[in-house]
Amino acid sequence: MSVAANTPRSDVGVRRLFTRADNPVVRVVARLPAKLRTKLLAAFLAIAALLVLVSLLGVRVLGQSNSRSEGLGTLQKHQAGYQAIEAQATIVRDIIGLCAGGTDVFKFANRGKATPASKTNRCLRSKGTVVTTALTDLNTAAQVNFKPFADEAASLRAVRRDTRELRRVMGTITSSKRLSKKLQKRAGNLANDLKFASDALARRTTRQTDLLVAANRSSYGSSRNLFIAAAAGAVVLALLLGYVLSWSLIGPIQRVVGRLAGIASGDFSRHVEVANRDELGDLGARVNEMNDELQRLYRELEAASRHKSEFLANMSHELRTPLNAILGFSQVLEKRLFGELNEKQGEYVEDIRSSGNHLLSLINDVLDLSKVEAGQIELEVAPFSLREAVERGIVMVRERASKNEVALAAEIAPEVQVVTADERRIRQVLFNLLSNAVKFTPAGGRIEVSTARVDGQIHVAVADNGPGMAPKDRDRISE
Amino acid sequence: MRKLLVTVALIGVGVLIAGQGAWSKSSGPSAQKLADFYRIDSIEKTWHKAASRKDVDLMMTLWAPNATATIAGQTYRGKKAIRQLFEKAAPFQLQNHWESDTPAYKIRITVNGDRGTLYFECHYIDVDTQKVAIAVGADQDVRKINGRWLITKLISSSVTLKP
Repeated sequence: MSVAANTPRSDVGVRRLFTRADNPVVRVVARLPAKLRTKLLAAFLAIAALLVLVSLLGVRVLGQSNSRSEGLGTLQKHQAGYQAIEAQATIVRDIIGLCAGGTDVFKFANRGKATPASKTNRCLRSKGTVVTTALTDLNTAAQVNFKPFADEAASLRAVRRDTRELRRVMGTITSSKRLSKKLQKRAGNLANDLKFASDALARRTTRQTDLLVAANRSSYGSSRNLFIAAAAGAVVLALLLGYVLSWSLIGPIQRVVGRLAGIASGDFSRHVEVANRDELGDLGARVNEMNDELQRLYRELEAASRHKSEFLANMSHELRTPLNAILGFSQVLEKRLFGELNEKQGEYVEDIRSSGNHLLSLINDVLDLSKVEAGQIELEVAPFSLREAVERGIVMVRERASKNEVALAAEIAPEVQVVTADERRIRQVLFNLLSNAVKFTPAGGRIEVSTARVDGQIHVAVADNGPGMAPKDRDRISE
Repeated sequence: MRKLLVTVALIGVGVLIAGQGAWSKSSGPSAQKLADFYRIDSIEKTWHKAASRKDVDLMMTLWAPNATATIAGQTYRGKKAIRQLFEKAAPFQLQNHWESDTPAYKIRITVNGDRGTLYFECHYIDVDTQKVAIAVGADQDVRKINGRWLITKLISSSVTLKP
């Protein structure tokens, strides 16, 4: 809570988002009214759908790439055809240009007068065969073996038309002996037109090819980014779904485990909170029902035990009252305070007193046990001499030990004198241990009692060389 | 979980950077072609600069050592012959006050590796008469030699003065 009080609200929100069990997204998923298998199936389907989407995108991109490749192939075919036309047109234009360069060219070269028309005509005639061959090749190249695009058809028709016209003009020039400046100029202009038209065709297809290549490159970039985004989205979605689903399961399980541990330790005061509306929600509800039922049974058992202990305590108290009378009067009779008893009577009185003492010890045991169970044991803590307590215990069993020919010895450390404890209980424990030691130590054996102060605590040890205690009984010694 | 998300984000950024690097690399040839277009286009600009200033030395920087120039039916071979051609050419004569220029739509450039073509039409304008004195076409082969684009072949012809 101190963290929330000292931290900005936005930071707290982010922190809550990453606090696994206390995540609002996890809680929302947990509260969805659906079975676990339905949630898992939905998550897997979501990821599978994304993968299918990526695959469909891939198929679409491949299809687009394929159609672009086909378009590129077509364009390359067109480009090759138009470049062949352009090459032939260039040859024609260059040859004619050599002969009929025009007035401006001569002006540029500053060679005075232009070539006489007669010289030009002779030149054209001498090159006539070459030009005709080039025009034939140009005409062949113009008969393309593909269907031109609509925007190419007009230019291609112009090339074919100009080729035919130039062939006709060249035929007239080479066959005629008469000079014709008009025809020379016409031939030069047609050659230029052919060059321009074929250039336009070649340039158009080159430009379209470049555009398609650029589009392909751009499409590659877009597709790459799309795939990266889709792949990253799939990874993030898978992580998110895995995170949310796993914690919508683990959180409730951890809370149920914690509550079961509390129940095992006897804490029935709380309920486990499971917000899930699935199998885990049912589990949490059952655990709470079990908790309530166990709490009810525990209280009933507690009450029954308390009643039993109270009954035993009351009953033992009530039993001791008449027993005191039996023991007192049997002792009076045993001591012959009211006259002599015959041998048989004395024997019976001794039996009555002995049995009474035994019964008294049994009742005392029952009374102590009932007090323990009823929680009525109250320790009377006060300073007393441990040395004296040990010596009294030894005195109480000395006669019996001497009868069994068992030696008794005590070693009280000088620093152990007065201790603070319940003297009566200490003496009781010491007496029980010594009684058992005398009882089970064989003749010729030895019992030693020692005390010592270790780390601020008082240790009292009773050691004998009897058979000892079975390992399985050692854990019960303090019960 | 936060570390995992940060790791995934870093991987995503790395993939994007790598992809961007691949993209930049794939655009390399296009940039080279544009650079070649620019340098070949500079030949036409230098040509007209040299003609307008009557600077034959500048003009000769455009020619390859074994270049040929065919003008008005005569072919000039080698830089020496071509220099003589330009020293006699009308635009380089002091008495002709001509400025030369080329309409942009009459410039055509193609590039294929270290070879290319350049076509332009020169309009020489007489500043005294404010008219086009002459108009000639220059169809050239160009080649990249030692990193420079130079003219290897020129065929000049009359032009139709139409696009």
